[in-house]
Amino acid sequence: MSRLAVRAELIKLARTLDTDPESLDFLADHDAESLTRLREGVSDGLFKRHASSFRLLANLSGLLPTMLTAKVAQFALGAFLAGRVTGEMQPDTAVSVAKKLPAEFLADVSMAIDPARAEPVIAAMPTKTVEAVAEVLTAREEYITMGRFVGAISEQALYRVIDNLEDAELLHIGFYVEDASRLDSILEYLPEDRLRNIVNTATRESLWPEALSFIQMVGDEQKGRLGDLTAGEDDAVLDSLIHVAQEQSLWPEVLVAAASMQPDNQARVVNLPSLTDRNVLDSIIAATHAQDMWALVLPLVARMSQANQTAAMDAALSQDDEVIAAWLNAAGDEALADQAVPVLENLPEAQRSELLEKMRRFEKHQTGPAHGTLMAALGG
Amino acid sequence: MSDKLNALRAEIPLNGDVQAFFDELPEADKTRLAGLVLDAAAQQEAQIDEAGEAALKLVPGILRGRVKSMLFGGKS
Repeated sequence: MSRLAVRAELIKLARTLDTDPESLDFLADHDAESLTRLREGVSDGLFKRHASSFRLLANLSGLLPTMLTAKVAQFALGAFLAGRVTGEMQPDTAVSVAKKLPAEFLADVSMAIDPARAEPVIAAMPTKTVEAVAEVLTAREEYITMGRFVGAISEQALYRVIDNLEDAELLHIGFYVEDASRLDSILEYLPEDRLRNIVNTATRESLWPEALSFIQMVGDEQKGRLGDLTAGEDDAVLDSLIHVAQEQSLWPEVLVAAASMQPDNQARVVNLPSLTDRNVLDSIIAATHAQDMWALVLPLVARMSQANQTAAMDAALSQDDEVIAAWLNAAGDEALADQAVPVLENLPEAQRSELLEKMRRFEKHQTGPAHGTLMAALGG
Repeated sequence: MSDKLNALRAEIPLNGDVQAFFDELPEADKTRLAGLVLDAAAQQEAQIDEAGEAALKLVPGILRGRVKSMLFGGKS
């Protein structure tokens, strides 16, 4: 996922610098968040450097007839400069000019525009214009550009565009959304059947990274809804999700989605046979430790069957001392101890003895208030 | 500090995030990125100049004087 996000950021930065993305390959090891901040800062700096010129060019629209302004935009400014100047125009003037321009050119402009700077203009664009531009951008597979506009176009235009998009296109665009504030209302707008199709499309077209990224960005209620819809799919769909999570290191995203599901759906997911695979369990534990997600993951363990709990405990007991101490510490938290106790009580004798021995060894490091309760559950 | 980075800092207002990003880059990458940003600024400047000239050619004679004075002010 982060590779995709970094790639998207490099493409956006390349557009800001009017260069090709390959010339920025030397920045590919940076994380997406730093690259976003770099891009926004550079874009701002470049804009400020020429702000007075952009304003002068925008002022031409107040002097020239609309048709002529459109001609100047298309043939004198060109798309890149027009994108910079747009944010300096009065929204109603910009709308009148846009109506005189071909959708192909407006699509070029939208690739150069900074939606945050031109928000009033973009919000004022008529639905028909937005639909026409979106059609061109979709045909060009310009999902990065479309993702940038999700937070800026009018609600009516947004929903019309969504209605016109294929499910896979929606997943692609969702991955690149910059302003996540509207995602919950988009999900509320989408009917259950369409969401189910989107989940199926994620499997069929190998778009789970995109789907999981989308799930991360929405609020808890919609996270739960998407998670539950996913859990309702057959085992083949869920196995493909686990396979992708393992292959592309997406466990933190999957665990967040699983934690948002209804308890019965959680029980179904955590008891999938593919989750007893030792490599999978090791990866889940490593991701949980790296992201300090024990409080999220331990309740999921409580929903496992005894066989899956035993497999999970085998993997958990084989980790480095630092990892074992971390999950024991989390399980010793009062809020989690109630769920941890039955798991510990049901462990096979050999595992209970091994765990008890480790708890005694780590005792001086244990700060969880329910540590004694856990020891008692193990017979210590 | 590279000449390009010095030039960049002198020519373009960069916020703290961008400065911090540059500070963490190896010297060669600093120079490379600074060069790309400076190129973009120069390219933008050239485009602005060309756009002004091109706009003048598109505008009918009756409006040309006003457009010229708006875009270029006292400049000829």
